[in-house]
Amino acid sequence: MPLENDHLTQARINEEFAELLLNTAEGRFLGWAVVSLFYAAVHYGRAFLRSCKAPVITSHPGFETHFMNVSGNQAAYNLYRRLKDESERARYDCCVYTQNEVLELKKLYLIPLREILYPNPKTS
Amino acid sequence: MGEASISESSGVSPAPQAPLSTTIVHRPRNHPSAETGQQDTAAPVQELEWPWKLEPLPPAVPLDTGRTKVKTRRFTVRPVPDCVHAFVRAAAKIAGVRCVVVEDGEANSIHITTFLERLSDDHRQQVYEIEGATIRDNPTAVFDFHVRHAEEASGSLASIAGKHYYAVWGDLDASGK
Repeated sequence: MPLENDHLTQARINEEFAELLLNTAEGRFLGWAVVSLFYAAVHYGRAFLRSCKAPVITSHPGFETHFMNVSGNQAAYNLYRRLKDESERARYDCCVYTQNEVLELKKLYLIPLREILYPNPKTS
Repeated sequence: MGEASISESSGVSPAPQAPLSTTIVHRPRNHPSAETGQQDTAAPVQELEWPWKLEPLPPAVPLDTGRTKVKTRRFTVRPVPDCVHAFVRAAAKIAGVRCVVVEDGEANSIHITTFLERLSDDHRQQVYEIEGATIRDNPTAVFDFHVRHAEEASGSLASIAGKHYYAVWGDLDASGK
């Protein structure tokens, strides 16, 4: 079962993948950068839950409920939810993103979420 | 509440059908209470008077599976959980909320999708706040929330996951048809 550091590592990998797509890929693949940002948020959230010694969830649909109940942090919830919705727009509603839009999502939602959950970044 | 069954001759399982507990609540255009909202009361949800008209969906139409032999399939019909009503009532007060769809999701979660006319930051924020409050107020329920742009949504509102309950408030179609 992944531990806190495993989730943090995966979160960083997903962030790096988003960055890779932003910097090197064609625009038509930017939807996957959005998806990667979302999955970075998922793993920061799961790492946070592990750090709280919260029960481990077995299915992702329950994640936001569990996260909200454990953290009680509406601001963090809002940031996570925005990334989830954008990820679904990219995957299911064929929404096309520009580089600036992806950068904005990272700057306005993923980074603030990470800073709320991990104000003092852990090095692993 | 209760159990309903669809019986056909034995053989192959049928394709999914519309669940039997489906309900559509139409939100009237320019209804005075639709935007102004109402004070929540302590009365049970079932006893509250809805500002929107409640009407049953037409009977489910069996899908043509192209197969002649299908075995009995049972649906346990449950009402939409009470906590959903409070969510819908609060979400309906947000300008630009066109439709809310609720169905049972994976792992006993309650799958709730709010369709907005415009995906502004402000509107999203308002919906997320209500979602958060709904989670806090119902610590034993598991929710799977979604917000979508009504114009971007593809397909119809036909439920696939809603095996036990499925309800729609409002209209996805801007014309209300």
